[in-house]
Amino acid sequence: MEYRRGSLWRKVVAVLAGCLAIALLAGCATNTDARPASGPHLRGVVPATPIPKADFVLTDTAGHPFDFARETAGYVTLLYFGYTHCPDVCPANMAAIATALRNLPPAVEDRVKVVFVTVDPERDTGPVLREWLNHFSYNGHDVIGLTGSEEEIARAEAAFGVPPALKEQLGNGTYGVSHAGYVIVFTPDGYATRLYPEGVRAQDWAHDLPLLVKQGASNGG
Amino acid sequence: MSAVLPMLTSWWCSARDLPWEWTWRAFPGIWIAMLALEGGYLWLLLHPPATLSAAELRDRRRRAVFYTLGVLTLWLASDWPLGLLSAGYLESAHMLQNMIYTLVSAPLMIMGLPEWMARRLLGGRWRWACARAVFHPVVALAIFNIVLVGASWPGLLDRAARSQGGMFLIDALWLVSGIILWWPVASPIKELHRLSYGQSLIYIMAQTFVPTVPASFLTFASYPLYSVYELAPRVWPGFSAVTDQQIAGLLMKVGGGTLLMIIAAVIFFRWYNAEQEHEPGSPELEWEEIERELAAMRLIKKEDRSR
Repeated sequence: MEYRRGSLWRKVVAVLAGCLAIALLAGCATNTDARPASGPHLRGVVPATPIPKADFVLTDTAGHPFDFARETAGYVTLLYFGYTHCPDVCPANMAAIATALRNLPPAVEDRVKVVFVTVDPERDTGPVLREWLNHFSYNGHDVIGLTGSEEEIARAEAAFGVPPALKEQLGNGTYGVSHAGYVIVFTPDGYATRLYPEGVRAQDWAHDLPLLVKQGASNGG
Repeated sequence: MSAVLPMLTSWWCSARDLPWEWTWRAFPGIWIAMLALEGGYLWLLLHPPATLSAAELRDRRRRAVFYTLGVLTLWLASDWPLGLLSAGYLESAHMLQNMIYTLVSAPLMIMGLPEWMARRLLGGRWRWACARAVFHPVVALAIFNIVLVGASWPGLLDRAARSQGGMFLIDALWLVSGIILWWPVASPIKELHRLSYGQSLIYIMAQTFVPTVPASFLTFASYPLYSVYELAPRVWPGFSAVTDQQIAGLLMKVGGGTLLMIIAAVIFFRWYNAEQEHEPGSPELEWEEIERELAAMRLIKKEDRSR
């Protein structure tokens, strides 16, 4: 029986050695997850052409005029058109952004401004907007809420190529507003090179925001 | 990324142009399933084998109460509102549903099976062999915890949540794994791996360890783990997906652990009572012996019972 045991042992060693060799060869394979050397791999969508930061003035939740271009100069600015009665996309988008910013260091969150423009000014008065946006505050920072007349808001949408919001009667005395569900992100140089559609998760924001802030800093923003 | 959301929102009211609301809605598939479970059981219960003893026939009512409670809790966890919230809106609702399936419904349904019914259901060479393999305590623990970890895996749950069939499969896995988990403790068939009281306590203690791992991930994660619950319409304003997830983790660890301890306490006291009834060295006292002692002490006149 001794020779059989020795023969079996040799087979086991041979199999283990083969497995080790395969493992080592697999480890030498190209890492397909490696980031390209040319720059950071952001998860947002690249627009066909960079969108310049248009200048418009709306009213913030305290009733004061808010000059968008001037007040957000030098910051990574997240601009979103939505409304507080939105059942799904708006709270999901805002919650994802807030969750990410709450977990990022002050060096990042201090360089980011989040601006929410309501497309339902009839129901979203300043106090209503403020109360809703307070759910998405992050580490002492508030989301900036803007409202205005329907014409002013429509002009702001048009300035960024955002499809105009449309009221839709829901048949039970209320209405919904169909609107563009993506976030436009401006870097400090005043251009939007990334759009973030609905479905972007907090981890995606947590990945991209530090890179956008860093990119803005390196461009002198 | 935007292609993901249509798949995720197939459950949601907004995908069907319905506003989010709390009003009741019907799920006839769940009703049919519950009726089938209860109806099938009652038919078997009312058609027992002719060889049953009188005690076994009387025991049917007690068993029926347990089983019906099991099906009732199963229905409550599956139907509106908990079933709806669990399927596509709240991770904490999903966790509560799973806990009811595995820690309440499953053991109650097993306790509702009389031995003769269990033998009839598991009769046949292959079913019996499968049962012997699956219900072994070590195998049962392993199967349950594999399902616990697997069904909690974000990639798997997110994929399953895209369809009603996928979520039904996840729910069925939880229930079946719960039955497998509790069989060694509550088996109506002694030779099919029924554990003693002491062994049951050890078995239950062993089950408290693995859930700590996924519960910790849920409780302490900074970001939502499941896209289905992160991107769902918020049920209450301000109730974030992270808070929902933390509650789910606490439910799994604290709630689940508490239920296991309650079950362990019940088993312990039943063990204690059983030991007290059969304590060696204390023979049962009979009246004739008392009569003899009292007569020997001339406290009573012992009657001549031969007349």
